[in-house]
Amino acid sequence: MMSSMAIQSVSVCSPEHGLANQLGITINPLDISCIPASIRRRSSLPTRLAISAAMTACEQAGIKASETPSLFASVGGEMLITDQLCLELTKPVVHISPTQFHNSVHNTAAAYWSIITGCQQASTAMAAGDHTIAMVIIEAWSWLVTNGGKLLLVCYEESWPDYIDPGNGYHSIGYAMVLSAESDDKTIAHCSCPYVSDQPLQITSGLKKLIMCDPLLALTHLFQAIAKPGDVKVAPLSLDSRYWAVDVQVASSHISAR
Amino acid sequence: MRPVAITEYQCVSAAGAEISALLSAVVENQTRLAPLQLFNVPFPAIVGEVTGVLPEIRDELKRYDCRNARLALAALEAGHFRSSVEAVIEWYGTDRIGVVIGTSTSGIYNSESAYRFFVEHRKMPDDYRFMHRHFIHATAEFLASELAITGPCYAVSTACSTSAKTLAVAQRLINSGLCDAVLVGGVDTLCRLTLFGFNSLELVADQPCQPMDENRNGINIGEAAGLLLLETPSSDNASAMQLLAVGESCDAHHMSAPHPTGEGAALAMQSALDMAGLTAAQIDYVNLHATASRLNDLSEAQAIDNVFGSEVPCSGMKGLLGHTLGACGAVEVIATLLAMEYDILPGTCGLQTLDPQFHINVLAEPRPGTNIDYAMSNAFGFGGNNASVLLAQSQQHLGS
Repeated sequence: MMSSMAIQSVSVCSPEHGLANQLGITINPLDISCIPASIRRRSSLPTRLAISAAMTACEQAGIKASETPSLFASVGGEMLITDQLCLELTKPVVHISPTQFHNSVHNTAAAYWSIITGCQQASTAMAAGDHTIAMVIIEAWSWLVTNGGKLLLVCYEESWPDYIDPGNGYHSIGYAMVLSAESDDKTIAHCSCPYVSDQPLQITSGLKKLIMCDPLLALTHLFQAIAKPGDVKVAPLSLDSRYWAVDVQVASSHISAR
Repeated sequence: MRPVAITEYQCVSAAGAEISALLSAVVENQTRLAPLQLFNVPFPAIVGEVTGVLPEIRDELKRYDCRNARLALAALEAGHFRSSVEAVIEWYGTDRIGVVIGTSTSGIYNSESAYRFFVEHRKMPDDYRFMHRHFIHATAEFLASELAITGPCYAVSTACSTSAKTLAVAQRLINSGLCDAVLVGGVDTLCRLTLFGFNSLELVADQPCQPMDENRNGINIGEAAGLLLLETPSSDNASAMQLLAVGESCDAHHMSAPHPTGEGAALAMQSALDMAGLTAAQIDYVNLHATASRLNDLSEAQAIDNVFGSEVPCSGMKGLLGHTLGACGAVEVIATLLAMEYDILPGTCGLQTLDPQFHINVLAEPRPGTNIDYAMSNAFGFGGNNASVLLAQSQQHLGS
């Protein structure tokens, strides 16, 4: 049985200035140069964020995107497209754009990723509300235990109008990681099987406030832990009722290479 | 991949509020499609609508109240399903059970009313909670809350392959030791968004659909909830049907059109066979995705021909219930399990003349009295997301 997941690369992108300082991690600008013009024209911001982060993570891990299964997670997926379609449906005469309709599915980013990279491997799109990050790490773990090999994990979100979920502050951000069932010289950190802590976990108040309004940002803990070599660190994955967490340790080969 | 036991299943669909109603529809091979009653649209719409009264959501969980949650609750309460799940919870413990539910549109049927209120009043209704109704995870979270399950709980949403993939997720959760049992399935309701959306793609038939027929001209949307209980195999459930494997793939071709030669679909089917260590010749029946759209059926027929050749008996069920979108994977796995349990090869309601381009064995009428040891059920979705579910009779049955 696999004792830990090997993290081969990490990547974050966002068009929001100042978010890197708030989260305490390195964030790249959104890079849409990797998206062919024909898809760029019809793709939404969350899909672009997912693809930009995923492409960087694959390049950094030195893997072929076309041969790697993928797992995409987002609380709202294509929420703004669905919002616009629902508003259109209130009109006396309804005109639904066929492109907007097929782009409204939760697996839109995953689908465009497979089309751009030519990847015919398995691909899943999922969501779990406040527990989205904990559950996507669980899904990644169970995938790697049962299938072995490597897995591209992508988490992404966009900001929405306040009327959709009042009081919540979703950010436009894309995270991506390449995970592996086995370590090699590309491994930058090791991540344990997700577990439930029996008590609330230590989280800085600023970040806690952000995650309470935007559960996808919970992945920040894991990215922070990878950036700081040292002892095993606990990375909380969710905030309420069940405190899912993982243990993270930077790979010794990665420390010496820094 | 080790097999897992399918110890209980239930379904609410246009056929009725119990698997016995679904079995009757399969045996009779008579359509349950009818003109849309739930709301009005300005074009002809023949649909698979659930017409019975759906159960109320209890007060403590009212925040989840929407047609999708009610449909899920109806399936949970059907037959012995709820008591079976509760027995499993009692046996393994609440934290060892997972809930993985697929949906395409979640509570959007109710959100459409909320948006009409929004346009009129410039605010959403005070009691409307998007996070608990509209969002993709809402139905899974509702069922976990209803049953006080505390294990992994999430939604898979890959358009029309959604709920077939929940079986794959459950098999992984059980085989990796994270769960002992998983409640899986799919729930999707009729809503204006999907009716208008598929109409904009010019894919909606104005008559009951004709899967695999030379004159097929589009799909009928349906609604349904299909739930299954999957458990780690043991001597206690050796008489239960088995999930052997789920093959998963992508077309990598187009957002709404299938791969022209069915390459991705064939990959999913072959992957399921390889994972289970079976050959195509060992499969007794294939439940087709067969939406009755021109391109989808052509693509799938070529994929079947490439993987199985022209002999294996195949049929499609969307002429009975319509295309239940995110629920169809689970609903048609359940219909396939019923076919295996009652020794009947299902027919293809609506099929009159097989498209002469197809060189596969599509059954128009059911064939009772046929043993099925191994069966496959296909579900293919927007974005070219494919899942092929490989099922087997119980260990006891196969060993006898």
